[in-house]
Amino acid sequence: MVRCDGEPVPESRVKAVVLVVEDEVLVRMMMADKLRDEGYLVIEAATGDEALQVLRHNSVDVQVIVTDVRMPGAIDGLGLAREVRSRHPLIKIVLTSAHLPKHLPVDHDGFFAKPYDPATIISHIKTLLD
Amino acid sequence: MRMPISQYLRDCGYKVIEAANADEAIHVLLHKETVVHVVFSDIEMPGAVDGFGLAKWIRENRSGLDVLLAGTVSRAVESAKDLCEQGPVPKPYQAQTVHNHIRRLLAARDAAARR
Repeated sequence: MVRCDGEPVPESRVKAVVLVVEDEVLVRMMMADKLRDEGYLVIEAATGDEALQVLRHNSVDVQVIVTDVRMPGAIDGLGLAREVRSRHPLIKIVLTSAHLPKHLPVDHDGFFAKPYDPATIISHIKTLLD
Repeated sequence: MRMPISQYLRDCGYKVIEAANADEAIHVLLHKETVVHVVFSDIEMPGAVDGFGLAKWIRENRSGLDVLLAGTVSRAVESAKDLCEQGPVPKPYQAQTVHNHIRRLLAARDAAARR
């Protein structure tokens, strides 16, 4: 990735790469902002399809995905999680939802009910990456 | 995709808010607590509203905002001149070109504010 003055970004500046997948733009914006404030490189996707495009693009190594469960489009958060577990097993998956499910039928690395405090998710991400 | 240009502009020191389409952009612009100075938008976008529609909405509802459009279709790019301050920026664009446009817009805004 190229910096503003044309030089490449040193990898040591970035804690980790987090992909935030959320169709509600203000929620996505809030989560992404808080993660950036903490030193993470954040990529945003509005849908599961967009998230898969990001992962296929391969220009950055995503280490964590924070995804809403219910999203419009061909693939929701659960479908995205299944796809990621299958093709990118090293990526940590954190699910969020306004609806508290009794059981989440997909392997994941954390679940947070909405409305959530971004600091709680960030603290969990730190634990996942340690 | 948005990521390269967004990340480039963040590295240049700008706070960048990403919107996947015009509906999301309008949602952000209607959010009173979110401060926006410049809107940089693709002309061709999925959804009911394209970049032109977004620029028109901004002209009608947030007239103080500067708008920069980017597009590939030459006729569309010509039409964009009526709706935005500078450019338009032809695609594929260099991130530095976009940055230069934004810098000029913000400099003009600062100069106007001092008068």
